[in-house]
Amino acid sequence: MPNPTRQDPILPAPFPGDKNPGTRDDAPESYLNVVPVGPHRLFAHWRLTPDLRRRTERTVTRPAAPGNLLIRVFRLDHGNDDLERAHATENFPVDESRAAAYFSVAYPGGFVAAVLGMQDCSGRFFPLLRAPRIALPEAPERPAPPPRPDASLNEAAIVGGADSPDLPPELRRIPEEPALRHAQTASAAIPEASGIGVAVPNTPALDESGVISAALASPPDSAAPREDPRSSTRPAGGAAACPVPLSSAHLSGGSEEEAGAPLTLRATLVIEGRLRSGDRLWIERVEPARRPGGHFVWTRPIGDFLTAWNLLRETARERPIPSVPPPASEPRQTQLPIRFSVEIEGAVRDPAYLARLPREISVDAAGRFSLIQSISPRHPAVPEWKLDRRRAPGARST
Amino acid sequence: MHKSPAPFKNPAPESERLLALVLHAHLPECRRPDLRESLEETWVFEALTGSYLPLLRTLDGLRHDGIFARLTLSLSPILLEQLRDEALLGRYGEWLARSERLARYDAGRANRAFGEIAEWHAEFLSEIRRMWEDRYRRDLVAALREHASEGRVELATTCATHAFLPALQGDPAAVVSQVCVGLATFEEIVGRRPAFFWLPECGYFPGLEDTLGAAGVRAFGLESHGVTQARPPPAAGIRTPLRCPNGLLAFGRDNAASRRVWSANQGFPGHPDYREFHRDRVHGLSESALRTAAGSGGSRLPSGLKYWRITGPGEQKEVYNPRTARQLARRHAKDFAGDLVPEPRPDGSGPELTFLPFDAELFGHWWFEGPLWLDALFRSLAETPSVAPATVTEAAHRFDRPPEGVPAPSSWGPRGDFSHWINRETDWIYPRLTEAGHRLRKLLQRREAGPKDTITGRAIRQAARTLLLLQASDWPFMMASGTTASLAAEELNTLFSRFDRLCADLEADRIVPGHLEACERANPAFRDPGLHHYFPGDPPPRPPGGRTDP
Repeated sequence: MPNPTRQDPILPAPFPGDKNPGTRDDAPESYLNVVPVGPHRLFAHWRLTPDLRRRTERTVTRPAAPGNLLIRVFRLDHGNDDLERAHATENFPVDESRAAAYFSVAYPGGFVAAVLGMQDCSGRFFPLLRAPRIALPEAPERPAPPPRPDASLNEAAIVGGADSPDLPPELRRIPEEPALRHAQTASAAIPEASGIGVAVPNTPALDESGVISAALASPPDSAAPREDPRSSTRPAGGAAACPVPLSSAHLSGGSEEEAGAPLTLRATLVIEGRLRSGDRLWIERVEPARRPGGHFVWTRPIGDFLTAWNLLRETARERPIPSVPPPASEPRQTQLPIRFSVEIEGAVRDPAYLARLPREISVDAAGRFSLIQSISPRHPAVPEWKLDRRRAPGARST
Repeated sequence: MHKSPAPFKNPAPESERLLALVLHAHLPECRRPDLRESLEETWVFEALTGSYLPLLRTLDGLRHDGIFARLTLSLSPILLEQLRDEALLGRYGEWLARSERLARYDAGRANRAFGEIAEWHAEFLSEIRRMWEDRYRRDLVAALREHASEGRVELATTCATHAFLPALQGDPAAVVSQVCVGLATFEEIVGRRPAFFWLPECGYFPGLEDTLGAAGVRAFGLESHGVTQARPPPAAGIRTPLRCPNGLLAFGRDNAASRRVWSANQGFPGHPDYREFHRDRVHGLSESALRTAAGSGGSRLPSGLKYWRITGPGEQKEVYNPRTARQLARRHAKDFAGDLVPEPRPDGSGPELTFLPFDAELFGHWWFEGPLWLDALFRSLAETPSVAPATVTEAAHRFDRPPEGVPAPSSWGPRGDFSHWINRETDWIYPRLTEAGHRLRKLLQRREAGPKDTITGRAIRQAARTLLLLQASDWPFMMASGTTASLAAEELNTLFSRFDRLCADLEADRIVPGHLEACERANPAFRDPGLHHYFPGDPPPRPPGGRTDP
């Protein structure tokens, strides 16, 4: 498959008569910013002004399909800033109603640059905005000890805390207080700073006695090679982006709780988006808290290993192909202000289990992997939800 | 042009192992002049009482006894700004007095066991107060400068508001601003430029060393895998510093040694005989008793009085015994010093490095006996010729030809990556920061900032100051850690509101003097917030030769 980047302009070209479309005095700037998070993970945020989008659409040779925005991530060699010399790319469709998203790249570490662009019906890519090159962080080969103590003291709650009766002549013991030193934040999807790989509630620990063996015993997919649905180009042999060959030393580490597990998985269901004033969303009959600007994030750990494992296999296969519109029977997420996704993170500590991972998954130097994948609002893992949108004249609630 | 770091006297003795201990003192902007008392300001008071003053006392004691001691002490610019705020320091004195009154109240009313420990705390606070007022005359920096001039301490600094720089990679002006305003503020207050720069959260990305080098920095510290997974990885690992292509030295943390000093499960501070941190005396008092004990107001903010020892993981806590704890700290320090003794090596092998960076507040605030442990450590090392404490710069002098490489992007976060600061709880901050940077830049494009004393000049500088405060890594750290998340979010929203209002007023050319003055009173840090770094078109500082890529 020819490298699609060779046929397309790499850098956003200025529009005629406008040297820098992003900096007109009377308009907010368009921009794309990509922030590295983990060896596999990026956080991108952008602003695409309507003006820039309109002017781009006028230059697109064929009518662009709806939902045609995507972020193309270029994998670069050390010291190289030239996208034309990128040795791999990955495309990530972008939900047009949102201005930020996480992406999980196929190969950990290294340098990447990102371009936000539009893709027409023929698959041609029109770049709009480019973010500076960034370096994805490395995973330590052995997790480091925490530099800080468990800073889980809820001082604000204590300050606002309850009455105590007057002191008797001798001092009384403090009434029960939470086990602050070992408190876990139940809703956190990410481990606390206090410990490496400290198990969060509902973390599916590996049960070697039965469940996992059964799950992993199902045969891998059939031998016929499959087109990589992510339309990424494979790195050239020996390129820096290939996973580091693993030895058992590289797979050591993890928390005391997970020390014995050859494979761990943590899956989190994420529902997020941005609601306008007047919109109301209920997830399991509770409205999620909103942040400034109407943003919200609702997360729930997915409880058992088997479910997480099956999700991993399902979602690793089901990356969307950018040029193919979603099936008509599925509600198009681009019409909803909310997005449904799963985030799956795991670690392989026994090399024997590597072969069982879906082939789309690669691990970093610490044996960890990460995947973020959109799912349908009707996926079985998604709980009951209801959205009541602010009514435009004549419109009905969703 | 900046002043070069002063040369250091007494290069580290020819020991086989060099212990480069770095303590990093930092607190976010905590001042709340609008409140009679606040939890945030209590953090400053507790840090002064538990860490900074006891550390100074430790250094004084070592000097008095002629014990060879060396360490590097980083002080964040935002902390330095607060330590020279007379109003804040005045409130510290009131807090100290109130805590001492509470301790004496307990000493007079409690049973024998609690009475003794309360009396002990009262005496401790009394001594702290005397040091603060009489010995140091409320000027910690002057006292530290004295130790620095004698070579005992190497003073260093960090970003202006301790921003997590990898999260700002996409905005080079923001990175430059944080580094340069930080260095300039340090120089203004301390009187010299530092050679060592503390990267907040040890957050590093390739190319950052160019910004540091252009600003005159010579060395910085990293999490261990930042060095061990450098390109190419050094054969000696963290036992030597790593020389970056631009000549700066990167020091990698010694995890095994760190673990012994600070691990929630395995380290010294978790010993049952050490003082329990979480339980403050005020938690057990009724409102009326509190008012009687501590004077009018009856604040339930932490008093710093913790009468209990860790005892165990459960809720039952025994009374703290300072004598037992002191003996334990000495034993732990001696054990630790013994573990540092290197294995015999062939002659001419060169020294080995142990680089140990810690938050300064771990010693004394989180781990009450930490300063005692440090004191005992230096005394033990004085009797251990094969191990010598050294400042970072002294240690650097001992490595003539360190291995070369580009460090790996890394941090000392839980996974060694950047996820503790960039995650679902915190990611909403970064688009707003990006847009704030754009807005400030656009304002500067449209107009000259003007002299500082014009209302326009003041407003633009205040906006830049507020943006620096918004970039602090403390906010996402607190939000991700969960415990003070709402406080951090509230502070962020307040700062964003101030910034937006200032920019809107500037854009409309109708600055409201009252609002501007209120912002200046609330957030007075950084006389020069570094506007010139945001002028569009100005590239980040480059090293000689103009190379930007590692």
